[in-house]
Amino acid sequence: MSPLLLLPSKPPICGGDEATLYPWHDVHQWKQADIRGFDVSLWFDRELCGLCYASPRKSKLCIKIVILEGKPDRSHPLRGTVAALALTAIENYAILIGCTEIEVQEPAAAAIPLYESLGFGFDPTGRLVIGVER
Amino acid sequence: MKKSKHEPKPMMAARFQAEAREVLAKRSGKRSRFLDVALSKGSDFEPVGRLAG
Repeated sequence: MSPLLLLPSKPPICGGDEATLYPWHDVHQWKQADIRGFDVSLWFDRELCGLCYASPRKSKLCIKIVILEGKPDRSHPLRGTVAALALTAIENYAILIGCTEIEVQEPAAAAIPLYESLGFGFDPTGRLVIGVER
Repeated sequence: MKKSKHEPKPMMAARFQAEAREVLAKRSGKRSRFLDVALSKGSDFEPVGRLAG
């Protein structure tokens, strides 16, 4: 079974980018204290292909991608589009709540070229951000 | 007598799917900017598994 489907309730176990387990079970608890928190699950038929949690927290201008993970499987049907699909949903949500910027809080090093190709850039303070297009 | 508004889950899923397809068909160029880039880069450009956090 893939780590994405194990949905651990304990803190993540780190064993390389493809083996990292996120605390997805805790997301519903985070949302109790974070009313503007936004979670996305990406499915292809009955196959879970990606999960994301983003939140503006206390900001009125910037929504932050807190965790984003694709199914750790090289052959799942949404391979290559997980970040793009999650970002499309997040951008629409950002428009709804009035945010003007999306930030990737802790980008995986291997994914930085992907974010840059999607239009993200590092600002002078080192944040990986993109403006919301209305 | 008031009719029940209960909608069975399979019907609800089919309705959501139809609505999503309709919205997707009308999507503007601006709203698909991320997807267009991702599709042009190919599936191997995105790392497997962890992407942020």
